[in-house]
Amino acid sequence: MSYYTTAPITSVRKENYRVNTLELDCSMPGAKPGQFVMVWLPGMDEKPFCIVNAVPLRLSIAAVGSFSKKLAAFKAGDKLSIRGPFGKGFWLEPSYKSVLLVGGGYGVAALNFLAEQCLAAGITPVMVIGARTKDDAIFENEFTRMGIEAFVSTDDGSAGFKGRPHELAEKLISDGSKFDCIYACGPEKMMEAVAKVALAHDLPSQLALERYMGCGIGVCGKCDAGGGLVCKQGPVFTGVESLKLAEFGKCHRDTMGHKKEW
Amino acid sequence: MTVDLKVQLAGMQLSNPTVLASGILGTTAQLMAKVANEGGAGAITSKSASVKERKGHANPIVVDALSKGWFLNAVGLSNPGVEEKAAEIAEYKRLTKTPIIASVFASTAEEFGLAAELISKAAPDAIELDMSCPNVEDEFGGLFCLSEKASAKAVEEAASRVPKSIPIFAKLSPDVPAIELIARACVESGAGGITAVNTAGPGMAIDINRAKPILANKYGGLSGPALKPLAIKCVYRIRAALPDTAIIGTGGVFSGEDAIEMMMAGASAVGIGTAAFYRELTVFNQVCSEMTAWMDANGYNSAKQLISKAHE
Repeated sequence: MSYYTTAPITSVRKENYRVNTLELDCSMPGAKPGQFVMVWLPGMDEKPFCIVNAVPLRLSIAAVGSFSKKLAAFKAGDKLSIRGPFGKGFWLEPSYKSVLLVGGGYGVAALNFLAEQCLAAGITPVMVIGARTKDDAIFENEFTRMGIEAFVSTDDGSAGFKGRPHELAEKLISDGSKFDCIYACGPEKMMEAVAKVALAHDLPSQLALERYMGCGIGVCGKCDAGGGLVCKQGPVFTGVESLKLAEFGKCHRDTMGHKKEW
Repeated sequence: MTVDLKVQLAGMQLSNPTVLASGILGTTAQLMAKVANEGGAGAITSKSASVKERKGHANPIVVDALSKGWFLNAVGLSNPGVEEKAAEIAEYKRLTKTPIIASVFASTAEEFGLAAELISKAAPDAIELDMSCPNVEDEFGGLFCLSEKASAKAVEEAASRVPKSIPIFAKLSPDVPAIELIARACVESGAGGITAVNTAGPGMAIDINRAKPILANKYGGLSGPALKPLAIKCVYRIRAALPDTAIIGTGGVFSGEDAIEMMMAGASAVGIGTAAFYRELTVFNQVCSEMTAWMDANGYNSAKQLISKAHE
């Protein structure tokens, strides 16, 4: 059977010392921001990656484990096999005029697609690019090229605002910026903090969660976050939903189901 | 006319005959409770646990070909070990009153006994012995349930080490010439019920564009609509041999009509696995309302009347 879509990589762009963006010779026109695809390396493993652009398909790979390190070494012409898109993506409400997107680390990549859709819907996105250091900040040019106001925050102050991305989000709101919703993708503790900033200002929020994933389609139960299947009911949950999940902000599970603290 | 879906299963009172099958979604306490409370399952089976943790197979672990009527999985019994599983079950019991069947597996009869004893400390409503996972034969040297003697021994060990109040179910494979003989051996050794059937095969699928088997394990258990006729036959034969035994009929049940057919074959309750993915978590509520509608239209007022109807 042809279970996977197999397509060659057309180009590889280096974002920073550990993140590459791969463009593939295929498209997923129906895909939504926040949804993911499963990438299969035959004989090795299969892992989820968020969709950075759907037409043509672009995926950002952060070389953090053995699988992503192997994938990060892929070059133009190499073939990739994918299935998807899966999961529930971000959504926009017709009443929204301006929204805040808060990315942390390589989570910024997932918000690129959302920013694009905001512009298409006539909604003004404002971007917070959160990073540990200036070397970790990605996609700033991508956002400014689209004409989007993008603020960088770094934990060490080596670029932009010194502090955590949720602190910058808080500052933007306190300084008078008006947003209809806050969207976040990044480390879970950061997203938890963003959800709490949103709640404090009586704003809705949407977060894209990450978990170890087995099947990707809602069968195996490995990606449960304590009452919510990240692959199917997520990966995007509202902030209110997320805070109700028993393991949100607390722990995740390995492939066997052992709890691991964030 | 009102339709009563309540059934009894080896002493358990089920609000309806649908049971979450083992291996699907049965990981965390909260997820299992969600399947019970929001999905509407009459009982939950937790994902199989072993005495020691087990990593399972690498991904891909599933092939979804339900549009063609079948599904393969080879998760490889990944689990954190029976003690952590017992903690999940104990937590589950704080979240819902829906009965829970704790599934365990092992590679020896002795270890089945130990796994059952350890999981019984969480006071599940029943214990299911997974003697028939088709994805791990190489390591364990063949399925337990291929042999009457090995099956009987595993049940005997487990039954001797858990409180009498907790019935033992033996989960059997459809890939045997006479499943009723294995089922009878299990019941004679102390099983309070039979779960029939596990996934079949295993089967295999190859991605032609990569010229490679899709599953990391190459082979995986076959489920989905293609499994239903095998499951119906197995349940029918077990019921014919064992008129009074509790049977959870599992395999390819996607709709209320499928569930009714399974009960008419002799099932006391109906396991649902693959369909919980295909029709979402609320498949249990959906199956129940479809059963109610059919029963109402066809003059049945209790699910109990369906059991073994095809044997009359």
